[in-house]
Amino acid sequence: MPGKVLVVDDATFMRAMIKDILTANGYEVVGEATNGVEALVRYEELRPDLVTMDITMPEMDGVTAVKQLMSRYPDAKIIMVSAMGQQALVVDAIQAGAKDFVVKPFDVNRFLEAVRRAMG
Amino acid sequence: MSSDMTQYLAVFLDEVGEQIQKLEEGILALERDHHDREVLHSLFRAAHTIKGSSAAMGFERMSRLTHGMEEVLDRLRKGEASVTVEVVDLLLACLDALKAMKEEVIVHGQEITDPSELIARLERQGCRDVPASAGSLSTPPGRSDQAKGILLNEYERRILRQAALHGVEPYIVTVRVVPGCPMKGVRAFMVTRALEELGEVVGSRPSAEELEKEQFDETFSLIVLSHEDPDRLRNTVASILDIAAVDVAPWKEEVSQDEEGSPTSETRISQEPRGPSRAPEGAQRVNQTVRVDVERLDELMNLVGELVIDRIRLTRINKELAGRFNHDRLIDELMETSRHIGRITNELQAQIMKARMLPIDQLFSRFPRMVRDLARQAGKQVEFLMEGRETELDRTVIEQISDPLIHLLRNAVDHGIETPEERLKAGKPAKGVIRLRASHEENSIVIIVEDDGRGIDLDRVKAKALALGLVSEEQLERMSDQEITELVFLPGFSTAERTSDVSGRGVGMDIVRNNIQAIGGSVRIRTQRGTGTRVILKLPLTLAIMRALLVGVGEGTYALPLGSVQEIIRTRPEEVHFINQQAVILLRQEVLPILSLAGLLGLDGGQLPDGDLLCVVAISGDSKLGLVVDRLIGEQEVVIKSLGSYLGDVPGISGATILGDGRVGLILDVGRLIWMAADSRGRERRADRGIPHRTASLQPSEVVPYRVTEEPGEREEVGYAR
Repeated sequence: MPGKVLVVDDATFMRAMIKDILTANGYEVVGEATNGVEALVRYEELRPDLVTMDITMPEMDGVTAVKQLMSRYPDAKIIMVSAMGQQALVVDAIQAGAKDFVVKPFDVNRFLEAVRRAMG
Repeated sequence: MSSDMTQYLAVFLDEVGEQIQKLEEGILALERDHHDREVLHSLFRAAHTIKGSSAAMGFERMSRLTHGMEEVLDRLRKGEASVTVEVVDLLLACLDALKAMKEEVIVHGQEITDPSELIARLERQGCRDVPASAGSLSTPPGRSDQAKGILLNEYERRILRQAALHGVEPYIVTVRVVPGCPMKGVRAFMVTRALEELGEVVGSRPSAEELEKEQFDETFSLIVLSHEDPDRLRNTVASILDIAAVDVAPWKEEVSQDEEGSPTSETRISQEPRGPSRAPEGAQRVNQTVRVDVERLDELMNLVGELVIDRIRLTRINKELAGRFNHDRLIDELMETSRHIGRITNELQAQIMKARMLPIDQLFSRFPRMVRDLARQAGKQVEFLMEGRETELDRTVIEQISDPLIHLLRNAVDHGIETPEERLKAGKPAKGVIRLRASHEENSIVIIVEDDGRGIDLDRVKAKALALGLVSEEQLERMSDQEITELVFLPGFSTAERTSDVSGRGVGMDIVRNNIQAIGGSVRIRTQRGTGTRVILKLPLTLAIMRALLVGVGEGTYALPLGSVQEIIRTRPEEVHFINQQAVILLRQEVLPILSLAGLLGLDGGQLPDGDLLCVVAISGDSKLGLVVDRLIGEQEVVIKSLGSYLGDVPGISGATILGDGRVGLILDVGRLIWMAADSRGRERRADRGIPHRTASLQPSEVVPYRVTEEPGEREEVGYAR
């Protein structure tokens, strides 16, 4: 079940990679954001089916963005894209309502599986 | 590196730094034990991490090099090749190249070192055939013994009993995550969370805390109360990513065999086949931590300092009130409250001190490689042993002792340990031993640097001291061996006839001693010709608070660090003698110069008061001085405050503190005072702000005449040597 995805990451490199993976697997990346604030704006504008959310970002970090997104859009589906060692932040994000997480560097299939489950 | 990656650069460099450290520790461990598979795994992971992140950052040379390392390490860990000295050297060479590249990235934004030759060597290493006896190939890690059951605590049992009364089914849900599951602790959290939506998670094995800290292999169990049917529970958990298997079974209570008969409140739960394997004993604990800015800790410490001061004031007010109104109920209550505040403040202070503490391993971990390289350069065989790496001390202290320790270790390798031939000739094993030990001793930390080398040649120390004009023949004759040994602490002193490129960089034993004394520590040397040398550093646990003796001079109150106070004596006027116009007394057969503190500080002309003299024997290193004061006030904990930059360096004063009555007390710098006293022109010099701070800590003039140090540039090699 393909869907619209908003990719949030401050690293161009990561955004490009995630976008490539998603596009290659039939998802449509409708927008990108480089920090939490931008993510909120773009979400409002695009209403994607899923958000992939980096944690460490300037302006507003991913966990704060999840909290804000979930308070405005309780149905938002968010997958955290975490670096190693950020357990506590991932737990925070999940408590705030994120559906799942992957840890960089991630396995493509695992990432897709997380996306599929989160959308389903 | 694309411009968008620059923001990751700092993170990347940090991480590379950490991994390089891991590589270094690992390679050295491998050198000691060629068969340590754990180490090989961790080395592989470190190389792998650098490879991945450097590739992502576009540092292609770094990535290629680590790729080569990874290949070799992979073969080693799989047992397809064996570890040899050659391999270790090659890995160390790669490590050096990585370090260089990291620096180049910092300075130039890109790598400059060409790793091609190393990569070629790595490739050759990788192709090498396996010796047939390579032996045990990696076996899957053995499952640790599965616990037969789960012990429930009283709380859990009560809930289960309660639930049984209400007809709610307890289940035991056993979950296995996929092998290598990233952040399995978070997965466990997600499982718990999912189950909590369907019922009540009563307990878990391992405990929730251990789950969070990932102290489990792949399996864990949760005890769940739920009205839902088992399939629903199973499917919910199974829908979570990275969960390999789920098993849901009703549990039945069964009193444990071992516990029977004892009045225990624990119950064993029968366990389904796939039991939780407990984290093995001594498994590495991954502590959950929060990074805190060091400044914030310092600020907290400051605030606690204020509290300590207020507590002291409160106690004082209390005492005064109690003196004024005997046995008033309110005053008793106040007393009790202030005592309680005292206890809490102490506890708070201790906790914050703890937070400022770092294991000394932070510093020690750099040394094995350094000693190894020094020994190689010097053509010596050295076994380097470290003890007490977990000893904790204040981070500011750790920063201050880094240079002195490096110097002492260099000395030990360069001058202490003999060449293998010399050692064999002397009937010692060819390999010398250098020991670095850290330990707690009451309120201080003791660090010992010890070698089993040739010891300090006292005859050469004497000759050198004479040649430099530091002592006279007669003085030498009067000096004990210990005193002669400690001449190496004098500025400008060195017996080195030959300088290696590592010692003799201008950091001598005098600087070592000054650095250590500057933070309120002390240095001692014990040496025996032909047997070895031991340098003992005694350091304060913290630099923020210290115990001090408060003394009064005129209107003012001064604090003497307790570590610098040997004793307090009362002297009758007739016991005071004069040598060259210097007042001295005889203290246990020893000549002790005495001076009025007021005079030394320039408060008055320095004449000794009439009548009995109250004299504090202050000590710094081996130097002693009797400080004549007006009053003794008492012993107290004082919070050290800096004098502030506008006051600058005030001779003889190292800081200030706030006293119980709210007034400011000055903290005396005993080393400096003794120096000032020993300097015959001390009084003129005090006004002179150009005095180099702590140029030397000196023996009193009776023991060793003070020699004005040259400009640093003119100073000759100052490492101590034997």
